[in-house]
Amino acid sequence: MELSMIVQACVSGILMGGVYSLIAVGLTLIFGIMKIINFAHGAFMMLGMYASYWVFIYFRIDPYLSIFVSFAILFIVGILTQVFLIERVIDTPEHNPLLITLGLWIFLENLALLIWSPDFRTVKVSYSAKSFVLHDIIFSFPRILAFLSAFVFAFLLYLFLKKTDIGKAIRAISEEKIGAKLVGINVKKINYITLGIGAACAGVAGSIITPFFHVEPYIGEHFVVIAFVVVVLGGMGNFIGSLVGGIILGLCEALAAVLLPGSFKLLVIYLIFMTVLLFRPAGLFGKRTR
Amino acid sequence: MKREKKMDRRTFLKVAGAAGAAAWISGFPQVVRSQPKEIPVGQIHPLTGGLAQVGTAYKAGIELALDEINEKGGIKSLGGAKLRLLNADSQGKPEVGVAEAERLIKEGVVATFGCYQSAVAFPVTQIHEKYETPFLITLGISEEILKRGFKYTFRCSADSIISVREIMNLIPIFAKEYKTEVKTIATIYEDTLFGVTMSGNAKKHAPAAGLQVVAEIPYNWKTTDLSAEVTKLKAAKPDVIVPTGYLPDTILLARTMKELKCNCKGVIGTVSGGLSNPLFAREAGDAAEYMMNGINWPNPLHPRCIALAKKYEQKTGNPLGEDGAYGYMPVFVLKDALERAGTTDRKAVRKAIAATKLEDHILPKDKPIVFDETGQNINAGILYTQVQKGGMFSVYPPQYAQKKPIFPVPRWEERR
Repeated sequence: MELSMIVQACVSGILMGGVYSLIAVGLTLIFGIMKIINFAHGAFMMLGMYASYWVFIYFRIDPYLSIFVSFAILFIVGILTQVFLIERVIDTPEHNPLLITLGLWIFLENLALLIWSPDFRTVKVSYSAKSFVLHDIIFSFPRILAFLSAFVFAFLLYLFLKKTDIGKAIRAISEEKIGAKLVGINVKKINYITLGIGAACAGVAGSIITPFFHVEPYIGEHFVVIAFVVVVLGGMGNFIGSLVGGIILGLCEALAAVLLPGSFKLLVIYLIFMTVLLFRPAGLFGKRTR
Repeated sequence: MKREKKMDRRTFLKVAGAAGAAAWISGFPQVVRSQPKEIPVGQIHPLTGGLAQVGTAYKAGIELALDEINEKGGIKSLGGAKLRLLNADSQGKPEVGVAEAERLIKEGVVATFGCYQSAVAFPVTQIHEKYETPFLITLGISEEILKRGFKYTFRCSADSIISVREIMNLIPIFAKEYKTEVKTIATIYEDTLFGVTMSGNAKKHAPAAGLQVVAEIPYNWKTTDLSAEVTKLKAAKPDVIVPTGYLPDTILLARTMKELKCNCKGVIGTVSGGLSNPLFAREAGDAAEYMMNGINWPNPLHPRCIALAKKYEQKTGNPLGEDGAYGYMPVFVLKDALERAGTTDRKAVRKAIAATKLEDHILPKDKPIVFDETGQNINAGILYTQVQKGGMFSVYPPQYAQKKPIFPVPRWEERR
């Protein structure tokens, strides 16, 4: 087992981990604020991928520049989901919003199947296979771009949550919902924005991987499970937790694939999931009590 | 109390009315008749899920065959009865395939076509054996499927043992013809029944072909990343890489190989569902170039196949490949059997299928379709396709070749 192989795996793992982080950040935001487990998250990601694909086909705009388009589209989709679906079950037992997002997931995937057919599509940019070589380790150019985009976006989101009024309102609701209402925060409006941002995160994550990942209606399924594991790993509702958790998971996945025989890497992912749930259910960064 | 009684009568009338309507719609009295105007046949393929693109292609092939048969007057020995397709979606999952198989059989299909995935075909054929209903495999290559002594399962396509052995034997032939040394191979395969069977057979037959297996790398076909697997592949330094997989993972594999510059003398798939998918070259772009695959393919030079290819492209917008052709062909095996049987009784139809000697077909090997006692077409054969300049062509054996093969292939660094 050469060292370079392990280092290569680490590099690939960390780069992919950045994407996982972004997907998970959206999911954890939705869960932290609204206590909703959004099963449609993978479907939102799929929509973001199609958005980038069609923008690329019709306007020849590079996916990394058209991120704003998927952001806008998914933001609106998120708000619509909140207004027309989730709001109606907001004060009912917790399993109802969960079932609704599950139904939305199935609906969106099959709608995509109907409109765009099951044929695979790819965004063929000129740099999709470009890579840099450093001491025998290959750094894939589009994956580096994806990683950087994910982190820039996450960083901007972090600033938004920390510094802006709306961001502070979001954090207030996640910590103390009733208190937030009492001080006059419009919880309904903030919920709209939160689901919008959460969906947009998934959409952007989808867009940034289109140069190296094919687009098809069921593509979200591959990432949903990983997103949930990351959210649990980082602590549900914990922003930084999801960021770090994503990198950790990407790293574990890649190392498992290189060091363990067979297709054990999925097993490792699920093992992490179960271990965290059993021994530290609040996640690596979550609060001990609750 | 009074209100309850009122609802009682209304409810009764509603239910009775609904039951009556349902019985009338389902054609209840018709069940008693013996000469059907329509013969139901079923198909089980992944119509949703990650393999939806392929499943839909098989369904298209089946539909084209049914249209052709029905337009030409249906089954003449049964009074011109037309074949009617009952659809089922396996969703790519064995347990769903099984449930759908039970449903189709209860709905009275005379025979079923399916399933593309060996993992789904394996239990589905078991259900059909239990209910004594003929099952014609469109694709499901694992030899395990026919090893169970079933009488009701038939397969036109080549099985895994024959195809892998031929592919392994081809490698030294190519090495000699193209004057390049090939001593080692590495298999990289998806880890369900399909991939495991193919790579297992490759390992078994490699020594006889003078080849050493230096790495065996399994992966889950739904994976989002193959960088680590390709890294392992690179480290093993095989002369020829032998992949087996489905479309999404094969696209990812090709792109990752290009990204990580995984070089070798050639890539020859063992009936990889991905490498010969007409969409593979389009979606993987130039990462797909030069990749070869030994696969169940129609004879591209046969006039009937050329005609089918035109219709298929009109219907689906994609070029004809293994999927459309192997969806199409088994339907004609059934038609021929029904004509000879002269009845829709499943046992008699099974007997007729077992006695098949069909010469008018579009498969390679110019001998007729004949099934042995396990249900395998003894004259099944494979072709080799290769992606050249973005198009998929048959390159070997020479009598079915559209272009000449390119071997060994240029390194990634030397390609433009």
